[in-house]
Amino acid sequence: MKKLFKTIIIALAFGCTALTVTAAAAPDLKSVQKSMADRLKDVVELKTAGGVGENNLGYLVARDKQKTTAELVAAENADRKAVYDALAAKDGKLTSKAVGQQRAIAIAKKAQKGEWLQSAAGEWYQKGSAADPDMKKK
Amino acid sequence: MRKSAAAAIAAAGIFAGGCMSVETKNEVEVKPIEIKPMKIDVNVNVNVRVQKELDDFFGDLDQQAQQLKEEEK
Repeated sequence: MKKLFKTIIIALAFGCTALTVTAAAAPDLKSVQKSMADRLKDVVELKTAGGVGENNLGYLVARDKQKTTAELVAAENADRKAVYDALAAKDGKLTSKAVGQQRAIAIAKKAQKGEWLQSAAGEWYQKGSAADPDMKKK
Repeated sequence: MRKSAAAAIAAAGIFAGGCMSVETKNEVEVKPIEIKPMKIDVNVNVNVRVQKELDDFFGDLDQQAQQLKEEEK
């Protein structure tokens, strides 16, 4: 009986340790969301000015290096990757890349005229231009 | 005469056997076609679920971004 009790205590201790490690490894998405909100104005300005574009994997890419800073793009992309990784892990069936591709589709739909986007085929175009795949369909 | 009749019967038997084996192959080919719609359904469900998760996370950020763009105009 004592042996069984001891085994249960050890199993519980291992379980608690595993939960603590998992919680520590998972990013705090609330803080990621806040840091993204803090730099949102800069990102929007850069997109409007054509300094950065949105690729087909859901990440920012510097288009005009004179207008943008590598630090801003890197910080934004690191936060996005944390979100995609977390959602992929939560889903369990999709990869982080697939989640990013799904986000890229939504970004392209919400983009304003003139923003740089990358098509699924990998070609860069400005929304609303003649090269825009949606304009070609019309 | 008897020999040729026996040969004809044997040939008919072999031919019938061949037909039966063709039928078995057809059954095997049909199976993957039945599975395909199920796979598509699963993919669509996964994409819809992930899109909802993405909307939950980015919804407010996207809304703020739209407001900022409107202000910039």
